[in-house]
Amino acid sequence: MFKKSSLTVITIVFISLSGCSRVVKVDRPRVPKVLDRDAVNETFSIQYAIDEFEKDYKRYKTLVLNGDDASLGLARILRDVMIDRIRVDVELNYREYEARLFAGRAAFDSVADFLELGLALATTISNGERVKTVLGAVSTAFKGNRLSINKNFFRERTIEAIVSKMQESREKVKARILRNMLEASVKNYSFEAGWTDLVEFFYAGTLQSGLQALTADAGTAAARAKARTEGVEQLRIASLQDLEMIQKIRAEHDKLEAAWATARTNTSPQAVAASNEAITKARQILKRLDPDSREDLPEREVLLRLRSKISESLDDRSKLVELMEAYGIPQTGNQ
Amino acid sequence: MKRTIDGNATLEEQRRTLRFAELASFKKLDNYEMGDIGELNVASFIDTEIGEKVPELVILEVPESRTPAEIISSPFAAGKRLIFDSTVFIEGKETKIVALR
Repeated sequence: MFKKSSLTVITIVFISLSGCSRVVKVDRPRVPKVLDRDAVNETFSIQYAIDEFEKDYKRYKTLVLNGDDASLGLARILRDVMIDRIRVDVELNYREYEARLFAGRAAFDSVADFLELGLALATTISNGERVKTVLGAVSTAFKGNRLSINKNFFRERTIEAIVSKMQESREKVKARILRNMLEASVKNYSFEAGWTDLVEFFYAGTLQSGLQALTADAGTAAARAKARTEGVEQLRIASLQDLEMIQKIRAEHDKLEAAWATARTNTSPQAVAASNEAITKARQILKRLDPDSREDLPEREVLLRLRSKISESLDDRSKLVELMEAYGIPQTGNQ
Repeated sequence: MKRTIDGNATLEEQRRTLRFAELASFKKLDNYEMGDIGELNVASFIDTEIGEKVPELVILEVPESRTPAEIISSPFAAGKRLIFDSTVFIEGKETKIVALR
């Protein structure tokens, strides 16, 4: 049997707990009326009502079916309005959900902390072995329950980490929706496509989505840890001069490749002549870089050999000067 | 093709080196991530076709207060396409980046 003093201690702890939960009420500033989804009057509601949506959607379909430029322009405006109105609803609901998640988790943690402390205190100050044993068992069971909630609902993640992931996922979808609204006509981004994105936008803001994104991140981190460096050659940091030289070399080389590639699809005399000229030049450059190279190499092979010569500069930057000379590129003083 | 780059270098030095490697090797950067030993980053490149133009590489640091998605949708990234986002060593510190071109 509990002794009177033990019961008194437990009662005090629980009463103080219930008091704390009322005093420590950290929620949010008051929501302005125009952002309050519950602030409804006879003429206006911030929420997008189903009948309003139905009316807009029918009008949108009619405009799209009309198919003329003016109708499609109006359909685009209506599409954007509908998407924006749904987005406002999703946004408002999400913000409330996020606030509830924070508040709920904080309240749960606070109550759990107080209960654990209260039980520990009651166990310490109570007389009698049986009372101690019972309180000890209750404390252990409580800790187990807390751990279980942490594991099963929050996967032992902090709300901050989960919400941060939810926000990241939402931002990605939101950026896509806004970009499409800005750039795409209703032919390329129909309301239905936007509707699908809105569904994704909505679900990106759920606890499950946040946890999934965190798990995916953990997977990426694990994969990242496996990026082996052993046996991989290191690149020397390129100087500004290195970059300028390779840009000039590539500009010259790319002209040769472009002329040759054009003549593969365009057989006009001009294109063929330009290609022949490019290949002749390419052969001369290759000869300067590799005097032993054969003169009857197929055209494609000549270009590939030159690529190979340029690639040598990746690990031997002194080749850059040699390449500049071979391609006939004048060198400035600082090269 | 894979190459490591010193993660103690600045972001611009690493970007310049990656671009140099793209031009010199006729390949394009596909991924860039932290290596498993020391402060080294590992760059993975893929082949390009003859005549293929590889636009300028842009690497932006993602500040802690922002997400890669926000950077991608910012004016800095206008007209560019995302290649990847990852975490690499920049001046010896783990830094979130996005790569665009």
